[in-house]
Amino acid sequence: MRSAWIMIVVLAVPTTAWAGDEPTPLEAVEELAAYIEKDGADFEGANPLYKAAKDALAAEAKAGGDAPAQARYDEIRSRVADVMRRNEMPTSAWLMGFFGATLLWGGFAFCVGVARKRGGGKGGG
Amino acid sequence: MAEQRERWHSRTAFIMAAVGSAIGLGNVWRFPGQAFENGGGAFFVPYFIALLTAGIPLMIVEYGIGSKYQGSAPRSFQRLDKRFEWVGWWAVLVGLMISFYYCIILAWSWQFAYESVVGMLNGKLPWTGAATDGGSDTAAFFNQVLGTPKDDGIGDFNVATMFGLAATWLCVYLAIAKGVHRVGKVVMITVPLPLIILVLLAIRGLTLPNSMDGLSYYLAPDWGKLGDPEVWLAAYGQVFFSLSVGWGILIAYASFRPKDSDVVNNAYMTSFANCGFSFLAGFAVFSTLGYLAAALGKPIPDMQGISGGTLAFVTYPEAIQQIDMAVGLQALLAVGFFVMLLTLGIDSAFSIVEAVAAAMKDKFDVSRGVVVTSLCVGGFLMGLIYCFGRGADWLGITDSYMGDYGLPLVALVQCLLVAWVIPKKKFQELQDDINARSELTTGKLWVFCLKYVTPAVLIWSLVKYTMKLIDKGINLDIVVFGVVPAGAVLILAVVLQAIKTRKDEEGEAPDA
Repeated sequence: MRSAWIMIVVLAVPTTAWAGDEPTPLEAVEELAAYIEKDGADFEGANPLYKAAKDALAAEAKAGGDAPAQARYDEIRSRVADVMRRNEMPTSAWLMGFFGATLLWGGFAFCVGVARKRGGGKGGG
Repeated sequence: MAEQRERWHSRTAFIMAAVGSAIGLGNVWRFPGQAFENGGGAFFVPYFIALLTAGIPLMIVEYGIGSKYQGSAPRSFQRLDKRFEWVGWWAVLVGLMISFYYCIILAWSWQFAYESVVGMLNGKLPWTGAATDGGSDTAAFFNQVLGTPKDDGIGDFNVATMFGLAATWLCVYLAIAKGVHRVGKVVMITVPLPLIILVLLAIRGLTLPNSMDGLSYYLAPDWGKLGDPEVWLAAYGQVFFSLSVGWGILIAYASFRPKDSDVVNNAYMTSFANCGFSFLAGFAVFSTLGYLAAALGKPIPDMQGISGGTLAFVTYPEAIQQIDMAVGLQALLAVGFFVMLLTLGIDSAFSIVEAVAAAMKDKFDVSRGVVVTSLCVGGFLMGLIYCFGRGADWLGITDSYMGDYGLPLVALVQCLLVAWVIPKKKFQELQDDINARSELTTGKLWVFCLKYVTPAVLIWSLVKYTMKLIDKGINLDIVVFGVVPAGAVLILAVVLQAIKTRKDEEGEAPDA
């Protein structure tokens, strides 16, 4: 019985976490526009907002389209591209690259090391 | 008396074969796109957690079962519990069905590789000037390769694809016909070669202008995405999709190891190598996309075809076309890319067929030669249907039902079976057996993941996927290429369990 409850909780937590207000396409686009107007607007701030605006527009387009939001989006798109195309990678991106490489290739190297050290007696050949 | 089981000639051969099976086309064309769509670098967090809590635990189960029961998936499940041989058959038959269309994708890679070699000799990329309407050359060329019909018909039969398909099945045959000893030698080429090519492509990509823009999209974390359950689901889906769990391949491969072989550390090594390859592929793909996006004058999120077959056959070739260097070098880069796809895919393809061949051989009194020849000829014939112009659409339907839906379902049944259905004593025996011969051991966390985390995530993703399939509706193509094969493999699995053979009686005890 306890197992069944644990199962329900494991299933329920992600399901309930779903809730959250989605911005309208125009709100998402305006938020993006406001961000890129700021001095020092950078990739890390612009990218998630840009994706959110794009997702909202795509969802709206399925439901019949939101012409004002699309027009505003098209208007600011080239300025977004300028912000996001500066040919320099944010520090957090470098860190995530390091994190990924360390965990995955480092993990592999660690396991190979363990196999070399202890593998002889346990079906190693 | 039971015949002696075949063996890998070394542990390295086994690891390489398992890694070769796990690393496939999806590592290059699916993982980077998934990371981009789901929070960039932030995606690595759920991905790594998914790897540790679902991918590796399930892989340990498959290695453990194969190694302990010394049989292919059906034989191992029969030895685990007589009632569940069909689960093993179901796994390998779903895999076989996937191999029919997987080999078609490799056939396209053959065509692209061949055309690129010709292009290298002629000093002209094969897709240059393919578009007559001012559209994308690469998209037009890909449509020519596929023979996509302009109307609703099935299109013309594509002879070039058929030759590519024949070449693929011939390679599969040559790799596995002589047994796992030969497989062990083949993977010593097919596993390192794509890795070397990928590193070269990554270096080329990283030295292109604007490559860092592309990498920013791949690596810069959007931490807000971690609160989105869809991102976590995508991470678990990517791990399941990528590791070859649920196909019965790992069970068969592990069964060719001696009974006292390591399990846990082998599972970790295979998983880390596979995921490390995916991670590296992101560098090759996104550095090049950064260059392409700048050349086309638009941000990457506005680009089409950042993942899937479109990335491999349209976007990446387009990027090559844009690179400012001699045409011969562009064609050489294209050749390298498609040879990488071929070598990535071929060991995944023959591992699927090997899993079926091992199952047939364990069940029936037939020689390896007969089984492998029948499977390869049969696979080739079944694949011919996808050589028609409409083949790519049908392939997509079969993939939805088999790859996206069938495999997680099989993995779920396997997981529930081991963690919940078999007697606790048997499960404990399996865990004790795994721990007794492994360099790293499993503990309570492994049991918890198997009992709760993995089934919960699989159920969740299957429910979501079912809704998606229902939304898509139904038509004749979906029935013929999706519903019927999905039902047929399940029925066939049950029928195969019902057939009793001499080897079934011998199979009660493992022939260590």
